[in-house]
Amino acid sequence: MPEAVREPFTDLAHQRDAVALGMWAFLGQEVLFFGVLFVLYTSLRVRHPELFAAFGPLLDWRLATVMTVALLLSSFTMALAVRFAFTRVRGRLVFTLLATMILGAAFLTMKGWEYAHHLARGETPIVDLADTLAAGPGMATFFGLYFVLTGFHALHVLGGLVALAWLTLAAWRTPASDLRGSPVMAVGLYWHFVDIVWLFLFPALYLAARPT
Amino acid sequence: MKSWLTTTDHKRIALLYLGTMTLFFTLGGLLATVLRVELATPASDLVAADTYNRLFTLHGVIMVFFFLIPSIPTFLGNYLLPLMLGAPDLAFPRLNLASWYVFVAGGLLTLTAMIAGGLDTGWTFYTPYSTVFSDSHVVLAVLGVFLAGLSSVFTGINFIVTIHRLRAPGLTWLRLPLFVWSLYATSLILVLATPVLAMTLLLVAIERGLQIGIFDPATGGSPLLFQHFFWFYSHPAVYIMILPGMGVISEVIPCFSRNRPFGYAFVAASSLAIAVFGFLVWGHHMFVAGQSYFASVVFSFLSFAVAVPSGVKVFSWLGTMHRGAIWLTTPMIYALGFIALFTVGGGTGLALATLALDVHLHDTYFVVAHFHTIMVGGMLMAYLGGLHFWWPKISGRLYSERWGRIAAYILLVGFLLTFLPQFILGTQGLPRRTASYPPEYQFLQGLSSAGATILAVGYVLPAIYLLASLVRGRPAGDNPWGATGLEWQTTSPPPPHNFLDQGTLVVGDPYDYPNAPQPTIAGAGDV
Repeated sequence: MPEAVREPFTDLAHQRDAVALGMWAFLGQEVLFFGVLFVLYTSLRVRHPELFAAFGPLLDWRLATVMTVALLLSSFTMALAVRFAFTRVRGRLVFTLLATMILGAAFLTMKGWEYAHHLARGETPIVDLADTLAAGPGMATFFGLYFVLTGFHALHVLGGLVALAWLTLAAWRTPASDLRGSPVMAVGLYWHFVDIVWLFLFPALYLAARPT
Repeated sequence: MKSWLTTTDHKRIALLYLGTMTLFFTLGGLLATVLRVELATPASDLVAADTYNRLFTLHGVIMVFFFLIPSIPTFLGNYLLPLMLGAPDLAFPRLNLASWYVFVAGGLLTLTAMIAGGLDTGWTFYTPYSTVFSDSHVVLAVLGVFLAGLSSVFTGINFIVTIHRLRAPGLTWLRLPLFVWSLYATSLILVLATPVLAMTLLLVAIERGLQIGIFDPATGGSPLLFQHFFWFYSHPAVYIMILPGMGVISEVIPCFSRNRPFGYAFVAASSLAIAVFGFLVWGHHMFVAGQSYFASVVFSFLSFAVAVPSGVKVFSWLGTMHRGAIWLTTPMIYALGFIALFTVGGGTGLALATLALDVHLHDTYFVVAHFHTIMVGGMLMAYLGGLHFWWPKISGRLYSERWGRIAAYILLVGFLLTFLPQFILGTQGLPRRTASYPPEYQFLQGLSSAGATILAVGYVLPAIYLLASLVRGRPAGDNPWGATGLEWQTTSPPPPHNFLDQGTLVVGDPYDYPNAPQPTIAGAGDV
């Protein structure tokens, strides 16, 4: 039995084409969504470079490098998964999907560990906005930016993990001859995009303010 | 009931949207009624100033995000796009249904905020007032608007993919109906501008809810940055509201002039041009907010440039009527009203885009009158025109043409009486958003309130005779107006899968009015 063709399409290539275009359009809006955060970053960096010089070194660039490697590897396994989905190799598809999930989960675990350590050291973004006598721009401003930027990225990774879990379950339950490539391809595009966002966040936050 | 709530048929989802948005429009209209009653007298006597702030905020939030932005795309667009393309449905039917659920969830959140006490920030949510000082339900309301935005993004993606991938064989880009072109331009804005508002509103919710200083100047944030983000979406959003309306007018005018649209390719391109220019003019909302003077000059110039593609459309409509056989039906009255009022609204927009003039007019009733002329006079006229034009197709019934014309004229008179006095009030310097005002403005304010009463009658009438037509109306037939366009080739109302059972579709010149079928509606003998 061929891959299921859904309404309103009548043939498979046509449907695959439409799913890809839909995903690209969605990623287009994601670029704008994260674009706001990068403009926020630029605005703060231009107006208060001293915050980055003072508090940037508090971020752990070594751990972040390991996290970057984990995400890059996960993109590799994801690309393999897309290939195996289209060639309908069920065992390898499930294996590569699981590998992608494990790498993504490892990234989130490291991120969570990092958050916990920042908060434990008092590097918190929370201030009392009603307190008009507060100290002004300072550590909370920098960490506010850090937590908001990385937090939105982490939520996207989490969303990707949910989608991957759903794909893995579907692949597990489906006979090899019925495997559907389009959903794996769409999630793959999304996963690569989330990786690319991190590739911008990593230097912007962890490396840019380091003394040379 | 269950079959409606789980449907993936674009036509049923469109009707779900129609029902939901009519409720929101009624609510927004009731809020406006209280505002106009309060403004009939100079003193703040019906409601207190604080309540007044909450009323105009909710009126703005509900009308902008839960009626004007989704109205034509999610109702007429959803219903007609697959029909006009000769497709069985939108590309992603389940995403379409999901968009309605997300929309309803957003509406419920906003209503919860309203019942819990409302919010008083204005529909613009300016920081730091919204994040630090306001004592109202900002977080709930912005999350509701965020969900409405997400629903818009779903709709936009669905439309873009559908227009690219599901055109009938032979339906090339330059044979697309102009309404489809306008929906395409609208969808581009929906997909590329809405995420900016979505993220900005989430940042407001985070700043207020978690006490993280993002836009707060006390912690190094920039309130001006919030305004840039907000208007980067909210100015293109104006074109989200008006472009589909222009598309409707471009369908109605050729049909009731029995003529090809004048300059078809230019009208199609002008939709895209408006979408592109629309992204580059947001700074004209911030002339007096302290942005760079040089930026203001550029924004002013670009705002004038938008008038060019808008003018192309107006001249196309006039050129289409020229030497046509004009047939003054209900939809055509709305279309003519649209052209007149859109021109007034656009022209006063140029006054506001003029740097020196804006300093005087900024934040006065002139601004209120300007955007209500575009939104109510333009967009709402187009919405009602489209509703009347396609009602026989959607319901399969004919409404009372006599009552339709009466209601359209009542609306026009009511509109002019409501908003023309506000232009004068603005030039006299009366600021907007105040519950009380000096007594010398009472005459014009009273005229405006009286006009609003007539306007309200104009809104209630169509609800009555359109609903009555469902019970008592005569069957419409497939093509009562004798219109071209694929949607008129199927039955009224169309079957669940639109064209699947009909064999091959004939696709040619989309506006072949010289050879169009004769209207079947009574009283069309003179066409």
